[in-house]
Amino acid sequence: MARSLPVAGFDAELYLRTVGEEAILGARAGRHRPWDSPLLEPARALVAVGAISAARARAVIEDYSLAEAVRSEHGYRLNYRMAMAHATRTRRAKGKPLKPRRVVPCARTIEDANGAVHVGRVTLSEDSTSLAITWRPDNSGPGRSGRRRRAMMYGPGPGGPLHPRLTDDKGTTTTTAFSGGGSEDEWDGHLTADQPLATDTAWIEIDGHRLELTGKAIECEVSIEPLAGELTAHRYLWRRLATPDFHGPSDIESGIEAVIAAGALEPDDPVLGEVRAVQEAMPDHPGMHGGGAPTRGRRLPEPWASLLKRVGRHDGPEGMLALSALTPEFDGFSVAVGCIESRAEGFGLEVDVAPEIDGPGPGRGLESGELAWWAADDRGNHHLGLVESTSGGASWCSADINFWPALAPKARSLSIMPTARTSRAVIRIPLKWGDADLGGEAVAT
Amino acid sequence: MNEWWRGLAPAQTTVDCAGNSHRLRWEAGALRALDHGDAEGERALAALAGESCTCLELLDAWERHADDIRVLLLASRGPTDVLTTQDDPGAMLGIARPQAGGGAAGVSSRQLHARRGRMISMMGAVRPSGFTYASRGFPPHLGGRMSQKAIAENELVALVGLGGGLPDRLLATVAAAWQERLAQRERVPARSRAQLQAALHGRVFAVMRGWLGTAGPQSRLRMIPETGKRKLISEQDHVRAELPFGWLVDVWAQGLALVWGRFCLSASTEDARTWRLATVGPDFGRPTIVTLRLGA
Repeated sequence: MARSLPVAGFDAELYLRTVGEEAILGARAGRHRPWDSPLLEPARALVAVGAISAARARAVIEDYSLAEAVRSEHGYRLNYRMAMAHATRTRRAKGKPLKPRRVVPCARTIEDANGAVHVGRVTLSEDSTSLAITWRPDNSGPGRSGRRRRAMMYGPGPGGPLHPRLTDDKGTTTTTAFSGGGSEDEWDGHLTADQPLATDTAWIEIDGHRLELTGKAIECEVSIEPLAGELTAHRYLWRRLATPDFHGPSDIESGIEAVIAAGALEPDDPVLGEVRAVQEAMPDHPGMHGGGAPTRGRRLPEPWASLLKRVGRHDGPEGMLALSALTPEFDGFSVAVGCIESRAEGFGLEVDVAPEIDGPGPGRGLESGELAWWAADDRGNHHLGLVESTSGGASWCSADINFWPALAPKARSLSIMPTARTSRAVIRIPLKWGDADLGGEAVAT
Repeated sequence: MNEWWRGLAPAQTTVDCAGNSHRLRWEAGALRALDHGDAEGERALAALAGESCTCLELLDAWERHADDIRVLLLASRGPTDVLTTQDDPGAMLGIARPQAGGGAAGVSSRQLHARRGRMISMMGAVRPSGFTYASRGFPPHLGGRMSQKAIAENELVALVGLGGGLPDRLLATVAAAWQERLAQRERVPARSRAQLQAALHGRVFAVMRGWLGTAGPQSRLRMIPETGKRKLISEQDHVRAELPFGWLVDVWAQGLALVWGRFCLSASTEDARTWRLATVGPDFGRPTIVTLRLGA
């Protein structure tokens, strides 16, 4: 269990307001991202160590967002700051655990007059049906090209660029909606049925084209583990390093200052040196191709040392595996993994998470609405995932998680470890690339 | 309440009121609309006609926020802390400004809707619940709804955006109200105490930065009881100030925080013409008395 040092006698609200006062006077310029409140990092840290409630911290952030807004020479910033304040105010919804799902790898392409739809996977559960697809529209023919270009330019709109009807073997027929992205020539995403189909259906029809559901995804072993006991403040800081947004490592220094002020850590705590060394060694844009190499310096603790050891390597295997994995609840989360795709420079997961997790952009919450996405292979290498995108509602969401660095070519199994505040799930994936019977699919490059 | 305003010079600004340039003047602790001789009568007439008047709306807003602790949050910390002023406080209060030759209304309902919508959006205060019909400033037939909080925020932004030194007088008014509560040992919630101490910290911090330079030692503040002994002490790498919240009223709001390059701990007067200041020099030596006298 995490241990907290007493923070009695410390007035966290006064501390945050004092930070706000100094920020207004420009004494804290450049220590936070321009779209975030300068109070966000210290507030998160103080909430994490129990020095202040999230509601009270949100109120202080909102106060100083307004104070800063009336000083802004740019009207839009007022709008933006307030929107951010509202985003941080949003409470994390209480979700229900995800329902069991049947994942069927397909690798089937259906062609019609509109183009070709490649169905990679069908996922059926009690409350949803979705198809992972790649759509290559037929842009040939008079007038077609222009129409498609317009469609791409303005986005999919209601129903998406294609919205076929699905039918199951029980006679249920439903419309679909597309979500995803793409270019003029190709769209990647999901078709989600407006009404769930039977989970045990032997086939589905896509606008009359029958798809036999005979494939079987790789069944993954799943377990839940409590996290090792450590000080709450230590845990918070390590977790903060493991959950950067797409702009790279967060500025944790103001969080460190806050927990020291609260008495939750001593200024000479040796772990602070390790935290700072890891932060310094982290690449600026770890999830991006060529996103920078770590600096060489002092010896880093695990798992950070093995994480950073392979940064910059582009020797990952290429392939995709359909997976069937659903975790029990841990710290209120449940996670289902539908697919892993490995590329030379990294690998990605398609997951569903309940309740909704924070997206990759600004305005992330004060409370723990996010998971740290760790992974470890059978060779001792570690990987860290960044939330690339999320979609869905408050009770659950779908997310793409991009991991770095690339998988080691000789890795034969991988444990995905979505990590919450006090526990983590461990999802063990046998890496059998290209084994079509087990849902493996070699990716053409 | 004591006469906390003694010695404070009058402050005045002009606002657009129904297409006319009208004067608002603060003097001796009160705000008055100089171009509305019978404010009460005009207020009643305006209410009957379903109209609004910027001057009177601002007077009312001033009254409503005369002890609003958030004024301390929004108002300036000093000369280096500049607010982006609102060109038209009436617009912030949702009052239509008649156009030249545009008749009584001048602004269409559609424009009013758009303006109000923009303001609501601007303040980001739309909430899924807790709305009230906003009669203030919005003709009832428009049926607009704003949350109470959004209305209050718009009023606050309008007030702290007024020119002519009025926001500083409003800050002094609010600070004096809270000083009184502290002096009377009224029960002040811990939350409000944190807000008061932060308001004091911000102004002391701003003065220190102007006095000792931004690269100077850090300042730390301890808010002491109103009757406590005021101190300014240099310690190793920082300056420690021990001041009561009332310093904001009797020193800062009077514009006496720095006098002759000295930090003013306290200021007192018997006749509002001769001031006795306890000051500390940049050497942080013993406090020295400075006497200021207002000429005839």
